Amino acid sequence: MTFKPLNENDTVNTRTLLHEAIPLTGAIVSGTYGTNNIKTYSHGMFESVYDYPYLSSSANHIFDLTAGLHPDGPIASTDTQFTKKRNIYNQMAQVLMGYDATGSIQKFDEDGDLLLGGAKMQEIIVMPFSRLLTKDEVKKETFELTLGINAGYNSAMNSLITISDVSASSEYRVNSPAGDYGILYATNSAGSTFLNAAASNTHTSSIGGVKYWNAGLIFYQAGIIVLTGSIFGTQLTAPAVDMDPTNLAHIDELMTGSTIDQISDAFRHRVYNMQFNNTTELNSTVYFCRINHNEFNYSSNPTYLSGSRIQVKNQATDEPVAYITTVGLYNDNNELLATAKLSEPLKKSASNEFTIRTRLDY
Amino acid sequence: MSYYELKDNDVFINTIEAYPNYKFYIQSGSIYINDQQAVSGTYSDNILGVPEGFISLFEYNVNRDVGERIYPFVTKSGQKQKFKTISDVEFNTQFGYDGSIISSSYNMSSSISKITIDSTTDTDYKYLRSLKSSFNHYSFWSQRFNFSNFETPTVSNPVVLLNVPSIFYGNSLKKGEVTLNAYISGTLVGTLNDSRQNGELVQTFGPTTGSVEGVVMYNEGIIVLTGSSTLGTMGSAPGSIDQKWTSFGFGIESGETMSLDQVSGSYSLEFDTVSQLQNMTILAKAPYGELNHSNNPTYLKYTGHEPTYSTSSYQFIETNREIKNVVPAAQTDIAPPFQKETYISKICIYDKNKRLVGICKLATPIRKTEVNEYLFKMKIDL
Repeated sequence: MTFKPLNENDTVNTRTLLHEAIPLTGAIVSGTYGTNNIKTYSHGMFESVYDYPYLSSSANHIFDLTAGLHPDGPIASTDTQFTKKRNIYNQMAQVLMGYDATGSIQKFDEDGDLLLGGAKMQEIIVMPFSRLLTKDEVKKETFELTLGINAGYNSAMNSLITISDVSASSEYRVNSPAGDYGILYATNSAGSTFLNAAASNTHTSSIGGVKYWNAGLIFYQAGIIVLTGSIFGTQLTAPAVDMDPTNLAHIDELMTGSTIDQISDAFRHRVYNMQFNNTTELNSTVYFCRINHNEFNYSSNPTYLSGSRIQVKNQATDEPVAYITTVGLYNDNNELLATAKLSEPLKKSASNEFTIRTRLDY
Repeated sequence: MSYYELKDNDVFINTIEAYPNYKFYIQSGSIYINDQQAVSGTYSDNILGVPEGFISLFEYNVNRDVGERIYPFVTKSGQKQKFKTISDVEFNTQFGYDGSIISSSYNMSSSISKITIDSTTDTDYKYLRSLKSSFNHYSFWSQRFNFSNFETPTVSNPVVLLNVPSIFYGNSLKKGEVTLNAYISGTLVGTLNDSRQNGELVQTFGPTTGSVEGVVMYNEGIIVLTGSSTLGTMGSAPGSIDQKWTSFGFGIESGETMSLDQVSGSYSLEFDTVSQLQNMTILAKAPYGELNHSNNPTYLKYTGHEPTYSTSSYQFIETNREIKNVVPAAQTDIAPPFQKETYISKICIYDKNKRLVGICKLATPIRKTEVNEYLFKMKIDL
């Protein structure tokens, strides 16, 4: 075994982005398992959605669902769960949007331009995704949520809209304490003409000459989706959709007159499909171990000798040969830190040179 | 917020050694882990999407159709990052230029496997030969490990390798806790045990009690069976088949065809494993007379108006503000005597560059006055 120091040209740090495609069909969210995969809590502030009945140890938590209202919106202290909805809004807003110069909590902004003001979201539906699915972050411009917005409750999926973070890979915002976020835009799904994005409407944006409805925000590193309740309101859809199976309440009535669990159930009922890609950063250091022709041709292994004679030599003039099986990485004190094993031994003689590329992932 | 430097005696690392137990039961070519049956799903016989008797590495795609599964992918780049299942040739030829997507799949599974070697020309003989160094290395435990005992297998005296993947055993199998049982029609006919803790698998129940029928390599997770003596007879003549240790796990090896007589044979493999887990314990002390002040805005009494200040070209002075008296009292009509106190709600851990690397939150805030001190014990699994 021989030590050879690595110099600064022999090491390089690299970063690899590993992605996962996450499809979540609406059947998982509302259908296949009934409510067996929906966990509700006595505090009533959110419900959790699993990909399998949650009593099974195989079930994975995929996201939570909750709703919030800003006091400036259509809310009165007599409304159902008034305090909880207000607290949810404030908690989410202070974490995701932060504070303004006066110390007040910023409201969720439709287009993310906080300086210009613009439309604010007063009624929000929030989906914090499980870290199991979002990993380090949601990959920009991959989120897509298809919702059924047909007016009738039982025919919800007859008209579909698609909500996505169009062009977010280049048009994302960085003015949130929770990291990067993008704007979610709604548009008609294929074959649907339900949305009619009027050019003059203040709730629309133009991307590449196409008008989209502003539908919410997606916080990539936090893995949280904030949707405006307006996606079910008359300003986007006409007529307003029936959100509740019994009293056919519209979104404003639902947000003020129903519990958070009921709002979450109503939203789940209209989820047709959902998908996104996540990202995991894999950091590596590559050590280029360079072996010159006159190095590492001998071994100090006991089996290299037999009767004080080098085994690989038949006569004195034979050139020495060694087989490299392992590369050890040592620190300044010659303490072994890591070993890299070759898939098969490498024959080294005075007539060849190698650069062994060893990669350490962490 | 105050910083305190952690001393040598404030941080120590412990190793917890755990011994998880696994049991594999094999019958008619099917494997059952820990006596559990797979839960049947909509799209396959197992909601985990892996064969029965196998564990799923990520347990990601629970009861999902093939087209709806979560899968990983990387974007092809000059760094040549790819999945292990993709060869260099495939990387170079089957994907386009930079920017192409290289995808893989989840539902990775693992279970015990078996290799039977019955001659030196057997295509699987390489697996036995590759263990030569390990065999000879363990020969200081027992001469039964000498490779010469295994190097010439025959049809009548084959060598069987049972491979336990490391995901099941962590560091190693636990010495003295490996047990193999053979059954005929549910009746126990033989037991092997490594009770000598030297790797020898000794028959403790059956016709040749006391004989060594195989060896176990604890660190490699490999069990080697050589015992070819008859433990009993499966089925009835003609066509009956002897139950032997070298028949262990019959049906799980590819190419093994199960006859009706062999269905009556079953096997179990049970072992404890050694799994080591390091954790760090950090002791943080809140001493007497310290940590009794907070810079939180709410620590000061609310005055109902903006704080006043005086300013000039060289100074800016805010007027003093009164600290809020939060001393608890039984009576509400009389304010208790003021004393400085805080409520500690979390402890932050910083590196030498004062970058936050960890936060420890208390279940309930701790009241800290000038006359008491606390020692917080924090643990983190490494």
